[in-house]
Amino acid sequence: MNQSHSETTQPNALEVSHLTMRFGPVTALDDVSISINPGEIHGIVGHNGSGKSTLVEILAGTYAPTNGALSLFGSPTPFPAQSRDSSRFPVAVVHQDVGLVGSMSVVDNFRVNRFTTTAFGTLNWRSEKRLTRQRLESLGLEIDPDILVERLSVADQVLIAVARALLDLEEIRKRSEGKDQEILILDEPTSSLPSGTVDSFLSTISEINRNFSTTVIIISHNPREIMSLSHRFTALKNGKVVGTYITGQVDYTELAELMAGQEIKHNADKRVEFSSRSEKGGREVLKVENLIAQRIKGVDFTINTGEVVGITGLLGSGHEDIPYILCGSSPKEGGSIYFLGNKMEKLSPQRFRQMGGMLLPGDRKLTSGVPLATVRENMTMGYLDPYLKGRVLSKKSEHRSVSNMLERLRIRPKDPDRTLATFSGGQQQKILVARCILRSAPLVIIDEPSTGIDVGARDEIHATLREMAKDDTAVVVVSSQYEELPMVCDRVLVFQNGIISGELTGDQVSEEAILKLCYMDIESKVS
Amino acid sequence: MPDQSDSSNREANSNLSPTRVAEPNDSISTEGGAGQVTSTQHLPETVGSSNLRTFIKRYFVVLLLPALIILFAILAPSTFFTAYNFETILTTNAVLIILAIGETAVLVTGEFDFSFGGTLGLSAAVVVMLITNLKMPTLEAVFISLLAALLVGVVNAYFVVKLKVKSFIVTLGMGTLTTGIGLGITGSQTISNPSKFLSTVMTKRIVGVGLPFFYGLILVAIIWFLLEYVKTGRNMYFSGEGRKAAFLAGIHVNKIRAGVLIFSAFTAWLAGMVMLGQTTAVDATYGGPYLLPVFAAVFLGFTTIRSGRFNALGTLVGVLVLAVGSTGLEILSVASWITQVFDGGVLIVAVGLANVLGGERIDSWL
Repeated sequence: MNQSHSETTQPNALEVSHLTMRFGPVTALDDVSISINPGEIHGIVGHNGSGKSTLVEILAGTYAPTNGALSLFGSPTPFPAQSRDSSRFPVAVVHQDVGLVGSMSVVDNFRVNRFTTTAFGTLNWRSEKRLTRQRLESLGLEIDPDILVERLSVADQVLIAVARALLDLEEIRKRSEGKDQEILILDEPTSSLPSGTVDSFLSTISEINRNFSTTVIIISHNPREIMSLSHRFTALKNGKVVGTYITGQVDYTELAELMAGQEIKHNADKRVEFSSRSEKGGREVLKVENLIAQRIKGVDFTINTGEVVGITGLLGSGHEDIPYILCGSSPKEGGSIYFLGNKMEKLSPQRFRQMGGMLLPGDRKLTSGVPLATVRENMTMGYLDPYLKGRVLSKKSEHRSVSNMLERLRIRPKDPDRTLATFSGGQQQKILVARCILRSAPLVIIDEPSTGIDVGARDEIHATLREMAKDDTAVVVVSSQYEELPMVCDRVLVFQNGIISGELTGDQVSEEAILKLCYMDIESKVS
Repeated sequence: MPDQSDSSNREANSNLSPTRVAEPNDSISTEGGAGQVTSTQHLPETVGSSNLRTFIKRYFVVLLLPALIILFAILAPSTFFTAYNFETILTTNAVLIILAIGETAVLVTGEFDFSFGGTLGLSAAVVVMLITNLKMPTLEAVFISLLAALLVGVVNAYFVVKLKVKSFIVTLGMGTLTTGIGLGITGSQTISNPSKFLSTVMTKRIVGVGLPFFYGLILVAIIWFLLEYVKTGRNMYFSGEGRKAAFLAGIHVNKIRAGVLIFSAFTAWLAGMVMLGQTTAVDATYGGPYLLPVFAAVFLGFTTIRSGRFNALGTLVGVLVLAVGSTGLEILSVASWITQVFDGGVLIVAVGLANVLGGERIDSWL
């Protein structure tokens, strides 16, 4: 399937060769070589942590690479972070977060830093507004330049950012004596778009590519985007290039296989032994019927005691909202949730807790842990009842219980009165997981348990989660790191575009199977 | 060719072990955004040499109190170091203790209350006017003024919790608003205290110290116990230090925030009653000058005993340090403006001290 693409006489628009980027011990990009043809739309696809974003940051000038060379339109060029004059670098990047100031007007955002002045030194508003209006109209946007950006739809905001990037490129072209060379990089442009507007956005990008002969590089985790928009695409995995392919020649199944790659086997020995996977037939703790929310388009599932259930999907597929909808902090738009057989009418974190639910959110510094509070306080947060004598807290019994837990989970230093912030990420996560053990709730939902922690701590947490499920508890692990799920889960629900694209049980749970369900062309299967 | 001189060092130091490449965790630092490796990895301090230092850090402000007393006792033995003087210091600072305890509870939960001065003045004004103009019995008048003060607290809480306005802004406005209403009620006059009852209750002395000081002590004890040994107290700290985490853990964060704002209005009312009884005349602006000493005392307390956390005993010590310091300076017959210089200076120094002495908690707070 690999393409040889240097037969054309025209030089490549952009070519990186042997690009390596290391952050301390972590290699984010490992000897990456990619060639982009002039005038093409080139997709860069890869899972979480494949190195896509690092590549963009290097081309945007955020990082200087550890190693590697760049050439633009045939001539060797320093990377922007290493170049003294990066204002002539003919590459414009539209970042994921778009980079507009919501509280300022369209024209302010559009012309920031580039305002022209009149003979009196005042801003030339009339011509600025005219220019802004023209530019936006050329992309099919009819927008009053005086309106505040935050009042526009997200789709329009992304287009404004694209229009601004195009104008940047044009000015760079003028400065470099009119050679027709420009490259537009879109980093996950549709990740914040409502699903209904993605198609029209993508066709606008197509038009820009056709009308202005702009070379477009689009970074995306969404295979559908790459399949429908790009001419060719390059797949990245774990910082390495898997290959560059002509889009029409690869189908979704092949793409999933590419993303799975060969390196997948190294985790196989950590997989939960099938014999130790729990027998079905625990008590039903949670039942979700036709759940509808902002990014969820109707899902049904049940969770039983004695099992660890994984919930995953590509970023933005809706799985990441599930814990917060269940605990009542994110709104639900429809459907029913039954907790231990009771229909939950009004959801709130307080109600969720009272019913016996326990959520460990995904951000240790903000949503799950309290860095400034002590280990003891963090571990017993929200559940002090076992240490109350009457209404008075017995610090001695709290201290004892927390010390035992520190011993059991081998957390060092074994000091319950240190603040959480003084522990490493892995230890912090173990401390917070201990909160779930102390609580022994019928339902424990853990969001992204292994973010930013070392492999050792991750394995220990997995072991703890499995142990927890042996008691009369149901454990739900929500994770975007699909690799960890086969190590801990009895069952995995894979989300794609707000619905469950498949459910894997027992022997079926594997990295390959999860990836296939992530990338599978689910819409064509349905129709 | 690109210049790579500064990146080559990094390369030499990095671990090239090939097995690391494919670890799933590596993804975190390569993809920007939510998963950044952000854990602070403070290494455990070496034990031993740090014990004394930790002690001094934690109790610096507490130790400051006897130090100041000794200093002034040496400088002014006959006037400062007398039982009468200490009785006076404790008696006259009852109002400060009561106000500072209310503010302590508010600051613990991560909110601010700047309105206590106005609430104090309003409470006093209401009592005075009900007794003088409407000839109402004292107890009824006092009760109605309590309701008025609580109403101020409820309105504060409504704006902060329901309308999600920063407490800083709401209470700043409320402080001026209530002072204005107080002035309206009293016709901008200074009015003499018409209630014998209040005077008797507030000027009664036990072992030479005025009764209101003991009200303050009771409040200190209650809030100390609440913060240390009651579930609600623990949740108050969580509301301040990790509100989002507390909310998701099912803690009634909003009830707590509303509660402390109402409690603070209650302490302002009590302080108003004390002031009315202790002084012969009041005006609605009498609470204003307490704004700064209250914050200075509470922040001094923040640095001590429960270092890096607002706590009731610390607040008490903070008040006493301020009281001893400013009384001592006055006795040395430095002009009376010195009190303001002292209070203001202490607030700044307290916060600076907190940073220098402080643990990891303080950095993020101030």
